[in-house]
Amino acid sequence: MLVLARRVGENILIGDDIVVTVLELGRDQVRIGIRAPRSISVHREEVYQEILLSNREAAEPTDVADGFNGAVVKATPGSPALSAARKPH
Amino acid sequence: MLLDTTRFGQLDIDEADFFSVPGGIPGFPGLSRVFFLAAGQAPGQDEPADDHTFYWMQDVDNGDLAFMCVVPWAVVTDYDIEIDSESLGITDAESVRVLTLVSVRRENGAANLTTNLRAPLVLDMDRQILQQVILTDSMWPVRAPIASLASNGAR
Repeated sequence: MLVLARRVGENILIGDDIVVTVLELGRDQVRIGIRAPRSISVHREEVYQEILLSNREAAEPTDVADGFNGAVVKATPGSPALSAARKPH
Repeated sequence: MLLDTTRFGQLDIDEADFFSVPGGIPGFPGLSRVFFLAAGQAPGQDEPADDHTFYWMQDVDNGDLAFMCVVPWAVVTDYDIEIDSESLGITDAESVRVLTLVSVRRENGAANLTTNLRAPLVLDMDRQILQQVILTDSMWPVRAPIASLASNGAR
């Protein structure tokens, strides 16, 4: 792990297009600004881990989910079957 | 294309119905192509196909892997999310559909259904691309209860 000392307002460059800025120092917290291309996703680690765990859970539907197997209808992008998923305005 | 799935047996799915999942989703980086099946009907029950609340998202390349999804507005009527369509490459907002993943946990004999409102699945129906978006500054829970639906749907 690379460890760098920085003052408030100073930057760290990662590669060509990621800039990390120290914005503010608190007692036990640091505010950090990150400028990155839109293709780079930035997440708080604990949130990402929680989503990851939840996704794994969702992939293991129990027998309860078997009740939802009946009369499966193919939901094609063009058909109305997916239209219920439309976001209401 | 004939696909063998654990949950639904053999299915004949048109490849035109596949959604691509660039980069997969957290926990499943290899998930690259999925298709959807409308679910939630009890066998023998006749319900119009365009009025579904639950869907199955089946992995094309792994017959074992299927996720249950729900239309989030069926769970929380005031669900509201802001999607950065530019970063997702979405050009037509009208072509966006949103589903959220459902988890089922058995606790003390009761089935607890929850859905992840923090990381919705955003579907671009035009390009048939699916992305799971983690809402950075949202207070929507990762495990929102959908208990009422459990009592109606699971039996």
